[in-house]
Parts: sequence; C-alpha cells; structure tokens
Amino acid sequence: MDLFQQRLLAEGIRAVEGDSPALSTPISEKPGVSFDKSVLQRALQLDSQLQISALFSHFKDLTKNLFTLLSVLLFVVGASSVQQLFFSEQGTQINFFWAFVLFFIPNFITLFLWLLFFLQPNLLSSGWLARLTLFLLKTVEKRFNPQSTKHPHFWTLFKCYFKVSFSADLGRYQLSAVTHLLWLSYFCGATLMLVMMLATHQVDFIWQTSILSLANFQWLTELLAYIPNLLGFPVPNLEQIQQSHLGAVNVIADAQNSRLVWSSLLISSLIIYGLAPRFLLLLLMQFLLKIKRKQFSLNLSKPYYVQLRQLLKPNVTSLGISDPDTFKVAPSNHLHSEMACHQLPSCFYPVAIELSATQLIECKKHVKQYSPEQFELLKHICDFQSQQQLLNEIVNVGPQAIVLYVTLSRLPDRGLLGFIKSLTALTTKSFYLLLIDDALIESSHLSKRRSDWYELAAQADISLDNIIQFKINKKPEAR
Amino acid sequence: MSKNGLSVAVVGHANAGKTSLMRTLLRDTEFGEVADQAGTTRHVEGSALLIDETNSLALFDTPGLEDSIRLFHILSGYFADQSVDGIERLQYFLAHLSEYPELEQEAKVLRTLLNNDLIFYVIDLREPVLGKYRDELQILSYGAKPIIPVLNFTKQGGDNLEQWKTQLARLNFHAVVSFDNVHFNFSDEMKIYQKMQTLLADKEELLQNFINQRQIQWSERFNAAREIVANLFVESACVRFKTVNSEQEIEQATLKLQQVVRKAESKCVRRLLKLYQFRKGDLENSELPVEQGGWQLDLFSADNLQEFGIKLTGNIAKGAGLGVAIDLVTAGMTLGAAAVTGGIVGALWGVKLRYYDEIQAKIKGSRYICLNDVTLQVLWLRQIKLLELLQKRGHASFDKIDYQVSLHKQKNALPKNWSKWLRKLRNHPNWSSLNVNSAELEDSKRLLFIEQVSVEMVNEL
Ligand SMILES: Nc1nc2c(ncn2[C@@H]2O[C@H](COP(=O)(O)OP(=O)(O)OP(=O)(O)O)[C@@H](O)[C@H]2O)c(=O)[nH]1
Ligand SMILES: [Mg+2]
Repeated sequence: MDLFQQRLLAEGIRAVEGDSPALSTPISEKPGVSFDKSVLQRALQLDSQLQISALFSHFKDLTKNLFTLLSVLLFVVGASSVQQLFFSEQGTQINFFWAFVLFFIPNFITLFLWLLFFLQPNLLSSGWLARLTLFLLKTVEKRFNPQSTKHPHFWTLFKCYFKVSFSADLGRYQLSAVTHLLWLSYFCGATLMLVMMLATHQVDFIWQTSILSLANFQWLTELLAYIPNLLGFPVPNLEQIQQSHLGAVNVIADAQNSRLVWSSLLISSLIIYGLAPRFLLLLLMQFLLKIKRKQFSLNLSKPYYVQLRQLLKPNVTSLGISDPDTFKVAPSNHLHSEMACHQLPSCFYPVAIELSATQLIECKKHVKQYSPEQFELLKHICDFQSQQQLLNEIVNVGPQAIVLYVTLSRLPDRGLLGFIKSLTALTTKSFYLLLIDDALIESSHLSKRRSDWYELAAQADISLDNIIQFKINKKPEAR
Repeated sequence: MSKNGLSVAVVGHANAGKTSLMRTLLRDTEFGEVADQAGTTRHVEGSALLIDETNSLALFDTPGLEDSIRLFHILSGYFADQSVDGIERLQYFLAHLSEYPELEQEAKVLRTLLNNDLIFYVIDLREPVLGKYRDELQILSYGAKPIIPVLNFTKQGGDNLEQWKTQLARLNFHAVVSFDNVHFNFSDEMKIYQKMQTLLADKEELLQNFINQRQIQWSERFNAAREIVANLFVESACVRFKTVNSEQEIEQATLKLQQVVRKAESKCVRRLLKLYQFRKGDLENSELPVEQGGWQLDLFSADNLQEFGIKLTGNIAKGAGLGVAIDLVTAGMTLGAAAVTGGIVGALWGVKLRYYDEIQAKIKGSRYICLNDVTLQVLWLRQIKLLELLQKRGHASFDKIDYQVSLHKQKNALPKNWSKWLRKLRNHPNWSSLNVNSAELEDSKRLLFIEQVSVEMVNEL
C-alpha cells in the first residue's frame, strides 16, 4: 500500500469514526514514531477489522471500469460519427472543410472551456462533473452491486473516497484526465474508422463556399497542411486545392493522387490536431495527478486529529511513585464538627500563634476585652526564636489558664502540633484553644478545617471542652 | 532524575497546592490526590512532559514540608564550629535520618531536592510570611539549586503579594512567578518556563523548544475547539424540518427539532471537554433553553426577503411576509409591481432558486420550520462562554463549569456579522447533518464558512 492509499485509509477511518476517534486500538508502538506515522499504523490496524481498504479498491475498480466503459462508448460514437458524417449519403463526395469543422469545433470549444475551468478552479463552484460522475457511480453501484452495499459503513466510505478523489486539486486533475481520455478515445474511434472507410471506399474531396474566395481556401489549406507536411504526410499542392473546388476538374490520372493527398491530410490533421493534443494532455494530467497524490496529506489541525494526537501521542508519561509511604496514616475522625461554645476563664495568659496582621489586631482586641490585665503579656509566636522564648517562660507565668489564639484559616500542620505538644507537656496549667474564624476560607471547607483543629487539640492533650470559637465579621468588630 | 532533559521538584508547605500545580501543568485531572488538609501527598510522584523524542521535562510532586522550623534548627545545629556548605548539611541529615523518624516526609523532600535540576517552591499567597516559610526557603537554599517561587492562590491572596515579594527578595529569590492553579492563565504558565530559561542558561535551547511546542499545542487545541463550535453553529442554523401545516404536526416537529439541536449541543460540549482534558463530571448540567418556542418558519424572515431585493412595505412586510413572494411566484404577480421595489425578475428568480422547496411545500400544504434567532443566539453565547471558561480553567479546579447565559445582559454581544451569517446559513439547508437528507458535508464552501466563523470567534473571546 503506498503512502497515498494509507492516508486515504486514515481518512476512511475518520469517516467511520465520525467526529472524534472512538475506536480503540492496542497501542503497540515504539517511542520514536512520529504522530503522522502512528496515525497510519493505527489505520492499518483498524483496517483489518473494518475492511475499508478492500472497499476502497473496489471503488477504484469501479471508477476504472466506469471510465473504461465510457471510453469504449465514445470510441464507438467516434467511429459511428465518421460513418454518419462522411459516408451516409449516396454521393461519394466529402466536403473537406465542413468535415473538419464538424470534428474540431466542438473539440476546440470544450478544450477552451476545460482550460478555463482548469486555470480558474473557483469559477465552477460545485463541480458538476464530479456530481455527474458520482451520480453515475452511485447508480451503477446500486444496480449492479447490491451486495457490496451491505458493508456497514458503505455510504460513508463511498462519500469519503470520492470526496478525496473528486475534490480539490486531486479532483481537478482526475476529472481533467477523464475528459481528455474520453476525447482521446473518441478521436481514436474516428481516426480508425476513417482509415478503414477510406481504405474501402472511393470518395472525392471537395470544398465549396458562398462568401469566401479561392485565395482564402488556399491559405487555409496550406495552414492546415503545414505541420502534416513537415511530418512527411503527403498534402495537397496548390493545383490540387484549386481542382478540388466543387470537384471542378477530374483528370483521371490526377484524381487518384488527389484523393490520396486529401485523405492523408484529413487523417493526419485528425491525428495531429485531435488525437495528439488530447493524448499529451492526458499524460500531463496523469503526471500531475501522481504528484498531487504524493503530496496528499492529512489535515492534522482538524479537531479529530488533534484529539487523536492526544490519544496516540500523549505528551505526558507517568514516572511512577518513588519514596512511598512506609506507614499508613490513621484516618482522621470527623466527630467534632459541631460548634462548641464554651466559656473563657476570667483571667488567662494569651498566646497568639501564627496570625496575620489583621488577625493579630482582632486578637488584641479580644484580649483587651476578656483579660485586660494580661494584655501586656500577649506574645505572637511565629518563628523559632519566639517559640523557644515561650517554652522557656511558660512554667513561670502567673495565670493558671493559657489561651492559644489560632486561626481557622491556618492549617494545623505537624510543626504546629509538635510545638503545642511540647508546650502542654511542660506545665500542668490548663490550655484553651481559641479558633478565630474570620471567614477567609470557603464555607465548604470550614467543617473539615475545624475538625482538623480538634484533632490537633486531642493529640496535644487539650481538652475538647477547652476549644472556643470566635467569629469575626468582615468589618472587624469583636463580639 | 530523568536521563534526558530536565527535572523539576515541586516543593512547598503542606496544602500550598503542589499537587494542584502538577495537575494543571500536566493537564491531568487525575494526577495524585488533592485535598484541603495537610499531608495529602505522602510520597514523591513524577510525570514527564515530552519535549521531543528523547528529551522530556520531568516534574516531581513531593509531600508538603510541615516542620521546617525544627528541621532548620537541626540542620543549622550541625557542624556548629565549622564552615560547611548546605549540601553537606543536608546529606549529613539524611544519613542520620533514623534519629528523627517524625521528619521522614521532610527527608523525602530533601532527597528530591538534591536529585533535581530546579525547584518550584509553591506558595499559598493567602498566608502571611511566617517564620516557618522563611525557614523552608533557607532549607531549600541549602540544596544550591535554582528555585522559582510560584505564587499560588493569586485570586484570594492578592493582598499579600507585595509582602511576599519583598520577603522573597530579601532572601534572594527574584525569579518569582504568579500562577493560579484554578484560574488558569496560559501566559503565566509560559512565564514559568521563561523564568526557567533564565535560570538554566545551558538548557535555554531545550526550553525554548519546549515553550514553542507548548504554544503550538495550545493554539492547536484552541483552533480545534473553535472549529467544533463553529460547526455546531452551522449545524443548528441550517437545520430545518418539513412538516404538514397543522398545529399538531408543527408541534411535534418542533419538539423533534429541539431534541435534535439539544443533542448536538451536548455532544459538542462533551467533545470540547474531552479536547481540553477535563472530566465529564466537571460540567454543570444545563440544557439549552429554548426561547419563544424555539422555532420559526424559515420563510418569513425579513432578512431573507431583503437578500433578493424584495422590500415589502408596511403591513405587507408585517403580515404577509414571504407569503407575498410565494403568491408572486405561484399565482403570477397578482400584487403587481407596486408592492415590490427592485428588479422583479431577478428577485423572483432568486426566490425560486432559493425557495423552490418551500414554495413546493406551500403548494402541497406543508411547511419548513427551523430554529429561531433567539435560540441560536443563546446557543452561540453559551458555546462562547464555555470556550472562555475552558481556556481559563486549571486542571486542579473542582468547581463545576457553568456556561449558562442570561440573555438580558449587556455584555452578550453578538459578532458583528451575525445577521449576515444567519442569512447565509439559512440559505444552505443542505449544510446541516441534522437534517434528514443531509448532503455532502465537506462542501468546500461550508468548510470555508466554518473557518471564517472560527477566525472571527477569536474576537468574541
Ligand atoms: N482556589 C484555589 N484553590 C487551590 C489552588 N491550588 C490548590 N488549591 C486547593 O488547595 C487545596 C490543597 O491543594 P493540594 O494540591 O492538595 O496541595 P498540596 O500542596 O499537594 O498538599 P499536600 O499534598 O497535603 O502537601 C485543595 O483543596 C485545592 O483544591 C488555587 O490556585 N486556587
Ligand atoms: Mg499534594
């Protein structure tokens, strides 16, 4: 399968999958493979389930057969038109220029049109030729191949295949090639028939006119005969041209020769002006088609491929866990989530722990209100030095109660726990935990946070009855 | 830790958002475990972002530091009378770890610190600058690795920003980045990598590749998302159902129309979620609200008439609508030229081309219905809002994505080409795969239009 076919196959898979890659494939790829390649690999893998390439080659054959059929048809048309045009009447005279015009004017017109559309692809927006071909293909398929349409994705793939081969540049070259092919077979038929008829019939070539002069005709004929002459075909000379005017003269000896040269001119101009250009154009189109096929690429910025890239080439790989935890943590119990409302002792030693500036202000207000004598003693513990200082002093403080001001917006961590633990271990004084709730954390997290603090209290030997909550509003005012 | 490329350790105090940072950078909502408590992560876990075939940027999530005061005290207690550098202190500590079983989590962080090229120090901006954080930074600086402080919770903790910045500067950390894990901002992410570039001069090129690649991926995804939305818009604007002209039938067809469009919308939303690698459950359930019954007769839109140069005056425009035009065609210009200004023949030809089906339907007593303008507007605005939300959502977010729009807000501006687009789309009923007989969807004009819409969508975001 060449690259074009593989890409076509990938497009087929896309058509089957629809908007986003849904079919799963075993990812069996080496790390070095580019995304482009892995898309094709995936397509090949999926093809064995979906049988898409078989269907595609069926479509290819179908197109080929259709085009062959058409060209045979045109071959026959070409042949019979020669017979019709030249040899139908009883007479044995052929009006040379009329014959020429009949043959070539349609050819030139279509050639011109083709060129126009070829160079200006936007002129014909919706390719009628493509539609016509599609219509033909559809009809043929429905009529002659009803069982192949049983493939579950037949029409999807049908659309997909012909969309690729009949649209954009590919379609332009493909359809151009077809038109040239058809004209070529038409001319082939015509030329062959002409040779056969001329070989077996005796006709005289004449020309006639109402408005043109003899000189005009001479000039025209010479013009026409110029290239055949160069190529060595016998062509009529001046005298023979004059003689052929309405079959004016018939010198017996010359008549034979005259027939020969005129026939030769007719056949050679059919070949040179009809057959050869179409043949060359056909070759050119096929060459361009081949190049375009090689250039055919998947549009990887389409949402489908962007998603596929995420699937096939995830840009994250897990490196796993190192340094795993050796012992399990006991699940924390969430028993203490209810609001506790206990009384503060009347005289206490205040300690603020890790508060922000605004929280500290609130804390001071609170101390002033409830234990004014101790206000001067208030300490803010927020680093190693202050911790050590407090640990040294705690045994000697006067009041029997110590109130630790902490905030709910701070998370109780192991460091804090360790510190409070060592505090409570030092004296037998009773400790209180005052939780400042300044509504900084979201209410959904509040109860979890509160129970974390209760847990800390439990671990640090602070009685749960000694936990007090203190709410402050956004507009700071103590209650 | 990784053989090729770069490795980064993500460290910080407990609950600062380390695992969340990992999730957001990796675009992986499933990475690790995230909870609002200390000690959620209790191991070192890594993931690598691929840079190219051989190189990657490895990120390692670590347990939170919880007892830095104690740890720093221990570390600075070593070698009291000698001048010994930080790395040796750390190594000495790790060698004597068995004496401090309660600092096991911290030891994991220190090991990771020593093993990686660079450190992200995650800071919860809501916190004041406490002694324990200063100690953490001191400990980290022992590792002699470049450190980028990443300021998290920038939304809620904005007030502390200056305080933190000055403190960090005093501790000699200048390459600070603000990066919120929940309110994601792509340019902030790029800033992290750019800071890395300045700190790791020898990896500058590698990082530049990485930055480029991240940017390409980001815009690729954005483009794809816009295409998906534009596609939905085209599908829904072009859809129309044929129905017999009786109230009951119309009602039924309307229901079906609503159903089909809603289904298409939720499919599109799911695709977008998947594209942006969010979970399905992240979405607030919301059904496309259908405004004013949700349907209209395609034919009677004044816009459509004007396209063909038919300007109906006064009552005719209000009452008869395109019925007039149909009568013109069917009954042969009964109204005479007075009702119509502009080239009649051209207009009629246009009407015939465009409305052939409708006219036929009218003659046969059936009609076409399609989605009305208001509903389409809602559909459009919802998708724009959703896209906006997805672009700005970090993979550590837990709140639901709510893309409901209220139609009465001022800021619900429609694109300036809106009515032009609609007119165009209404004229291409074959562009919608939601229709019963949908034709070629890959029509090049349709693709072109989708591209045009998705390009203009950038202005809407
Ligand atoms: N609003 C908001 N919340 C965040 C942000 N970053 C993290 N969070 C929340 O903060 C909490 C802690 O996040 P984690 O990522 O678990 O923090 P961690 O640092 O990994 O915590 P440990 O593993 O316990 O050390 C979670 O509830 C997150 O949802 C952020 O930028 N904005
Ligand atoms: Mg964590």
